[in-house]
Amino acid sequence: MEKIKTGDFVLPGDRLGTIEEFVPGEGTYEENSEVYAASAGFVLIDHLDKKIKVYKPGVVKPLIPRVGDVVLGKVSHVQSQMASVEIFQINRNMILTPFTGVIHISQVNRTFTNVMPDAYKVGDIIRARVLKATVPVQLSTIGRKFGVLLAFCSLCGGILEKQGGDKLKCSNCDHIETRKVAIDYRRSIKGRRA
Amino acid sequence: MKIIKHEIPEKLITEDGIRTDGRKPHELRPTKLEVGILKRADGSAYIEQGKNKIMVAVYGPRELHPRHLALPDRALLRCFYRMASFSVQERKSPAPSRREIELSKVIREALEPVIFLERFPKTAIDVFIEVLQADGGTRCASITTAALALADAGIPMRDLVSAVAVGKVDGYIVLDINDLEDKYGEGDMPTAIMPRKKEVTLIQLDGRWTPEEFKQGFELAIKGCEQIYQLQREALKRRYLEIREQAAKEMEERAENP
Repeated sequence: MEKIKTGDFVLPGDRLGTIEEFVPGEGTYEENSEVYAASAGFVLIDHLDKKIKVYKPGVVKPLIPRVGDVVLGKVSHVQSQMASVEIFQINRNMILTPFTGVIHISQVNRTFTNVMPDAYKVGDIIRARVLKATVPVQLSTIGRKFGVLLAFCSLCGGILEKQGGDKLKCSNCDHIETRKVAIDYRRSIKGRRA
Repeated sequence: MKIIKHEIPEKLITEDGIRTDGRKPHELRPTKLEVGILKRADGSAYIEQGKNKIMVAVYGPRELHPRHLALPDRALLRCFYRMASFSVQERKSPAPSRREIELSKVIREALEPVIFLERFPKTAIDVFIEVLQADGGTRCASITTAALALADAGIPMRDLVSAVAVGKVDGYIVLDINDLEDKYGEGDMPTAIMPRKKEVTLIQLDGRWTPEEFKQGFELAIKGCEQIYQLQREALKRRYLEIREQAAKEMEERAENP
């Protein structure tokens, strides 16, 4: 049999080598001390780490949340200690059916948060990081670039504008609210008037 | 309007071994496979095998609702085999029939052993199989196409699955039976295998076969599956070269105007 080299096209089940030759990486699996391809794609051999991968150009598939991913979501439910989030984007790729994520109050901010509604309210668009990838996905918003990207007034539904600190002011009725605000609030997502 | 009527020939195979559609006994129907035909699905594939026309869409792994159906240690594979009401001579009721529900189960069990379901706990992988035109051997064509759609969706698999039906017609063992041979023949045997692992994932048998006939039929089925596998390989390769070209083009564009 011909030896596998970088750039070869392989299908699931194709033999890539033995575990003495390679460490099985992404898109491969090991069975009876042989390494096989688990997905269709092109072979990538790392001769330094002796690692073999099957690489697919374009969007990473399957598109599911993995630990460390940055996701966008809409807050769907808020309790005193927990908030549920409908994740609609993973690493800038839109997903077809949303995954449900949860944020615990201890993972909202580096500082103390008294109750969840002080940080998030239903309808907020937030950016978060994945802590645990099994359903329901555990999220964290600790860090400057994580938190609310767009929020709406709880009284009139108008868009909230940044006031400085964690204070937001309604553009419609001047109501003041608090949120865990991301550094680029209202800059990455514009939003239409509700 | 002209009403199409199929005449049942007296003989399904002539003395010189030519079948109703002009094939030899050990010949496949002309088969065309295409991968990635649906934009909104995670993975998709299409097959034209003789007069069969089948479309498969794969969604997932995705969150499962209602949540209590989810399995704690692996993904739930769901297959939906459906025949369009215009897919057969006489209009088929669009409601799922006993046959469709059974075929959904049989197809699911033929695909389950190749997918690494345990890598995606508490999620669902949905496979929708839409038969647009049926001409015998649709369950095998569905399995072949579904395997391609799953690979297109990037779902990790141990192997592909290739399937073909063998039949007993006028005393001959023939490969890849069509509708006429299915209806008026003496028996059929749909077979699905993992072509690289050399394992059988589906085998059914209908009619009266002697042990020798079964053996001969099984060997023929494996040979047929291997031919199908080559077609699957080519179809996936075509798709992936396309994706690679597209990705390279996008990279270039991004480099030009950042």
